[in-house]
Amino acid sequence: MFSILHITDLHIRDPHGSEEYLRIGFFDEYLDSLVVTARPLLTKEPKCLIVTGDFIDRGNANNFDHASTVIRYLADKLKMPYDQVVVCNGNHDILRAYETTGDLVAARKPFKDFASQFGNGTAIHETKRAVLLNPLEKLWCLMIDATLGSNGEDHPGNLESNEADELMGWIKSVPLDDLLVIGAHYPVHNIMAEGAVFDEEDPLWSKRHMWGKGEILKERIRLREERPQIIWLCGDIHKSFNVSHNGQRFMATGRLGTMTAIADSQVRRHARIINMNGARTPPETWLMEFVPIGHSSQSHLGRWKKTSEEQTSAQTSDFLSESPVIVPDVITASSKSEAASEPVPIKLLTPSVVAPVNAAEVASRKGIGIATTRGFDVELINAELQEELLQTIRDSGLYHFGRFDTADVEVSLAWISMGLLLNKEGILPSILSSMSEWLNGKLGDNQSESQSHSLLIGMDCWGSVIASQLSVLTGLPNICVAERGGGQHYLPSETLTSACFSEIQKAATIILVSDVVATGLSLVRLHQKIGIGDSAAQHKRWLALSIMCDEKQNRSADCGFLEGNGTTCKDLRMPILPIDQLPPENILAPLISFR
Amino acid sequence: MRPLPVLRHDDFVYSRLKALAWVTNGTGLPTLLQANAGRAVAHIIEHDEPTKPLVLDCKGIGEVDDHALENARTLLQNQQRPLVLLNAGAIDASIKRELGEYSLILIGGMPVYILGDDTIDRGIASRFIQQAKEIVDAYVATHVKECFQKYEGGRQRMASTPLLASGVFDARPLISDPLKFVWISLLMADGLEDFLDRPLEQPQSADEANKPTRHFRLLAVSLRGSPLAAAVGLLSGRHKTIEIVDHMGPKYKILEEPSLRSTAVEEDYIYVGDFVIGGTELRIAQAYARSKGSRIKHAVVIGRMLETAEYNLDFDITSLVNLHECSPNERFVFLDY
Repeated sequence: MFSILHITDLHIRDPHGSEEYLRIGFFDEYLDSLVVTARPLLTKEPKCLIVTGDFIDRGNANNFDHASTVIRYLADKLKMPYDQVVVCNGNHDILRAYETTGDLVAARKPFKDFASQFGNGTAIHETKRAVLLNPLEKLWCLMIDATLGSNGEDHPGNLESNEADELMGWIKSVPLDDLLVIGAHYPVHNIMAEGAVFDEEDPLWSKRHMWGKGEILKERIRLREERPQIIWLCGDIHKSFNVSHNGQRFMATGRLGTMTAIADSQVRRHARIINMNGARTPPETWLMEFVPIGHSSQSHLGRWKKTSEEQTSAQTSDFLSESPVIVPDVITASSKSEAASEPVPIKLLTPSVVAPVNAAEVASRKGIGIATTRGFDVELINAELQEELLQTIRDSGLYHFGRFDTADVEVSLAWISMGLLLNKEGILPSILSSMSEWLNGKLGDNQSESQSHSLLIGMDCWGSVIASQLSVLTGLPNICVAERGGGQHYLPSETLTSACFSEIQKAATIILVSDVVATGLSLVRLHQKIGIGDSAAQHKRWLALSIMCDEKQNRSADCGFLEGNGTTCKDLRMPILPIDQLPPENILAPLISFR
Repeated sequence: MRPLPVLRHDDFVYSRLKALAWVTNGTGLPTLLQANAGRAVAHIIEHDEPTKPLVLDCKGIGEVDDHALENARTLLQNQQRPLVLLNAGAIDASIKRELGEYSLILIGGMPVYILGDDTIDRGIASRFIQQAKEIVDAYVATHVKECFQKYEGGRQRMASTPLLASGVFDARPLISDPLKFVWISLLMADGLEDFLDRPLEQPQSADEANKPTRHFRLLAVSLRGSPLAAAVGLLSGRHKTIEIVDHMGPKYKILEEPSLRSTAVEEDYIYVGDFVIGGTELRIAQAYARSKGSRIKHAVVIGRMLETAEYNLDFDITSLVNLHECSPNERFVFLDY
């Protein structure tokens, strides 16, 4: 049908210098090597080049000329007309001085001029937020400015409802049998584990790099459930991922350029190929990376290689399913380190971008029946205890109704004063006893084997209390991790560390323990983070235990990876709403916010 | 049977009945020794270095279920294994009922019950008591030392306190391992009980005169402190509230709405935490207690870096170890502001 080459983040800062790959004196050698590697992989005709922003560095518009040279050179080498090149801007492509004064048009004028020489100059639709392009037959590209609305701050912008309305109108106009690619510089929020931290030392990483408002568009597309597939392409994070979720595929590609001397210069440069056979056929994708030769002082010397883990066709049968899937080309730091011939400066166990796991596949592999759609299979572990809990909550007035922003995309409308509940005479020991019995039942009779291969993970303070007590009762080891707000408000040592992963890797069964499961996103997020640090995570058996888990809530989180989900109270309604169904915070302030 | 909380000396095997009760029956009835715990005792008698005397500390156990130690009695007789019971005054009648005749000697005011071996005299029993304390202390010190994580690249500023430190103590290894957690928690619970058993202090000022002095709530303000506070509270036979605030340490970020909690607290607080280095977390916790119209009256922690007086707080700190003594080569230097 056609092939797409996706590159991003050129970050041209000093074209006349000697410290970057795309400098005047070197870019042709660098790109020639890329083309040599890419050409045999670009198996379909015609071809399209999509670039998702940060052509220049730090808003130095003078460098757009060289960026243009680079892009044209690459297109020429691939024998690709310039109107088959499609671009969107990144945060470095706007002029910050104008942006901060509110002159959004002037801030983007150099980029717009630059973009107009490519396919963007022949847009079908255009607003200040986005352009809709039809660069190839059967290929539509919605290129979005995800920086708009950031008010000059160093984080992604917004997306107003009326803008989303307009974009949805465009999307509806695209024929269903054509492929729609949505390009935006920032990854749309919640495709990674919500709040996951790319750099443990930067707790604001998620805020700076995840386009939270893009979630609105993503969800609206998902709810229509008409289009067979949509591909989102993004950059910004200088890392690559490739995940499918609810019929939409999300790919980030690592940067193409930047200086070689900056701190993270040894993070590999990437480019991605997407071969499409049809709108209803899963894509074949390849990730290419530039592998330096020799030591870091010569890191601009090297050659482009395809990475073997990038091929996705093996598991793409899940591509159109409702359940989220993980595909084998998710680049984990650990997998990259094995291939690296040089030190990789990023922390090996730092969660980067993660994907929901394919519950159906895991279930199938284990021969067990798990619901593959969203929702929870909740198992009440002690009906009598549930009655006691409900009565205590009622009698002591422990149920609070209001807005509780415990997750970014969904809001819990209920809060249980867990401390007050668990301090009622005898309740905590009763809960622990019931949970312990349930757990022993799940782990089977072979206790010694179970003990050596199972691990309790206590989430946040009360989850840690329960996990540590269950640890004493069962003999299983436990670890306590801070997960509220994605762990951003805690020390890195309180979140998942390498020490945790050494325990996790030993375990065949993981039991996630928390006080309340509201939106369920914390479970998903932790599962995903573990999947990043432990490549065998999807082969493990996963259980969850909680005090409260309303079984009837329709959550967006898919906990299908759980083989068992026990709770001591499943019948207390704890409503959840998508955040966009509530008024803004300045009208209805959250009583609690983990953000 | 799963590993049990047992420490071994060259001359004897040592355990705590309360630890065995906890791992086998939980904390629903923390002062009661039930049948499952009795079976654990029997297992130790039968399998754990059966040629050596078994020393069981009964501190914190106030009752023994009928027939709970029946198997233990049979095994003791069959194997002729000596049993030494420490701090067993509260279950004197149960011992006679369950285990039969014993020799009783008083050592430093503590009744020591000896069963099955006439050769264990006062001198040997005294030595066992001293050596038991030493192996417990060594166990704690060894594992606390393992908690120290050296910073890469030299000294760094600590997250919680304006200190330059060569590393940080992280209690995760102590909490993760159920046996270590049992021992540490039990010893901290002992520290709490010792404090609560102290004679009541006189009110220091008129406004304190009407305050209750033996009604406490335990306060934890960190992820690591929470399991410890809960364990200490659950192990105590006295009913007390466990209040967990998420979180004031090592970083400060309150993630819960104070209005959803009871605003005024009538009890005094006892802080339970992992490690006290500079004391910042304690001071924030004290400010929190004051905001509730209360105060922290005592702190129980795994380790502290300085002597209590050096923290200049208006309450004492019970600490299992002195961190400086555990890791004498590590350096913690206050930043000069």
